[in-house]
Amino acid sequence: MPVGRFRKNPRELDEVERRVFAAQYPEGSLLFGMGAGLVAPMAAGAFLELPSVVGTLGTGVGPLFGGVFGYLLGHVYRQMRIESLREESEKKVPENTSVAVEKD
Amino acid sequence: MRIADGDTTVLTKRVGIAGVMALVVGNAVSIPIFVLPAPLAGSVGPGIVVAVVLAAVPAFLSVLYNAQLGSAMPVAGGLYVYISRLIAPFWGFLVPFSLPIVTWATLLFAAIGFAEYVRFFVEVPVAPLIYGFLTFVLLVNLLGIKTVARAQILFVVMLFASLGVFVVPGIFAVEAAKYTPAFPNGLSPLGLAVVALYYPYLGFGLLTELGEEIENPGKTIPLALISGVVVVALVYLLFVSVLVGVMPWRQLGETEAAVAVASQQFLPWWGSAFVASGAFFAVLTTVNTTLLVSSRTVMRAARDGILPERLSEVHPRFGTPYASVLLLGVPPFFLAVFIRTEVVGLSVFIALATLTAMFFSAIALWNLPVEFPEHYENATLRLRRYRGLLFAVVAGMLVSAAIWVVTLIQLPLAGLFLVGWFGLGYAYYRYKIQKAGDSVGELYVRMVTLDEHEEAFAEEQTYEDVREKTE
Repeated sequence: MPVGRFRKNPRELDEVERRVFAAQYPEGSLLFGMGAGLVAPMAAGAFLELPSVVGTLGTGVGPLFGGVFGYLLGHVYRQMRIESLREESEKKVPENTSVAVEKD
Repeated sequence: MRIADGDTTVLTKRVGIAGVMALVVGNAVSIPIFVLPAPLAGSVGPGIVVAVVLAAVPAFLSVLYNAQLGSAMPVAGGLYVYISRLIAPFWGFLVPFSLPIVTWATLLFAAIGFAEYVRFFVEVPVAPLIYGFLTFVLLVNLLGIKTVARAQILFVVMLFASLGVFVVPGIFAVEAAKYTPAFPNGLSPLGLAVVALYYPYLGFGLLTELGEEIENPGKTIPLALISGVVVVALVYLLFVSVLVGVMPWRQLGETEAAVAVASQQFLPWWGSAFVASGAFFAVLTTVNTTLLVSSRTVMRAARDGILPERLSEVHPRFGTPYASVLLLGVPPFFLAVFIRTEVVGLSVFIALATLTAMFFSAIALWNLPVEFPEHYENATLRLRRYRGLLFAVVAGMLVSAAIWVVTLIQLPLAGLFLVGWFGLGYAYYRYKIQKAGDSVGELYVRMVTLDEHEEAFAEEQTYEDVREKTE
């Protein structure tokens, strides 16, 4: 899925972005959303007395909705992960700098 | 990565237009032409001819976007490269991750079908036939694409000769009255027949997997795909028209080996035997290409490092990705017992996996002009983005998604298995990412960019020119 600057030239990504994009969070959670969207109508059909047409439609559209929901969730998580890793690396840099100054 | 003599990381043997046409047409005119039309005619009626025409429409659309991608960016393992570079690396990775199951099952179905078919003529034990067949396919593929193409040309000539012996005299034996009523059971069986007759066309995507090994690929791939789909559609149309025109539709639905039986109405016994032998060549032409294509995709993913790098090794003498060929060609020898019982489920798995890949490659095509503008601008076949390209993308996505949903509703467990398999793929993908450690960034960049020789293709338009420039 094209995502702004990184799709234009992946070589321009910084190390944090590369690490997080490599994990493919939105794609992974899309997949699990699809799986949940497929299992839910099948389970509902097995345990509840639903008209067969509901189960059939659910099997057809469940994975679609599950996939979209999963993707959005993964997208949000990816942004959070980038921000938290950036914060961590920013905290580390001043610490190292101060140590270096003290040694000098 | 420039191509140089003795390079054992890039494929340097190439086939010309005749070999390419034989590969693509031979793969599409497969065993279903002998086994599908008769039972489908039994449910649809003589109107099955209309289903053949309708099935060619989505087939042409999928050919169109494969032709555009293959012309702009001809690479080894095209589907993997297009999806990983133009959408996301994980979706691309699912192609080589799913291919072993697809290839093992396809090889085994073909070997079993071949053995049972031979036993129809000669009484011999099944096991030696299955293992002999698998050994032959493995050896031919280890010897390289030129050997595969030569064998394929021979098999395709024999296949078309047998089809010709059925069609040409058959045209004169057709009775117009047999075409009416066209739809005795109404139009409802027509949809399923269209889907069933569309499946043989799925093989047209194979050519984009071989881009690195095709002479002048920017021109050859679109030419072979577009002329190939026309040839195959005509062959199917003529074949089915004759079949329905020489034998009553109801009788076709109830007869085993209906093609052979139908041919007995206008051919001597030896002619019918020759027509029946066409099924034997149809199996060979399909299987011959399956191992060839899959091994290139696995090899290309291994080049990136997302699969074990050993799988990317190219044999210095034969120029084949022998480790990938062995990975895909050897396990069927040991899996025959397990896979034989799961024919239907695995067939649906293969169909769903292929449709998923087609859906993604349609999206990939839409992103091509933005992500790799130089490749798109210099392509021999270039569809305008908001005209032909948009049409091919939307139609390709709709067709594959619609057939995906219809298949899923019919067999939801196969869909669940597919999603579960992809989930396993995600776990493996994350394992490789973790294992890469500090070099994860490099691995990621490799998976979303092209190799040097693939990038250079945009300017040179042939891999030979890339090579000469290096020398």
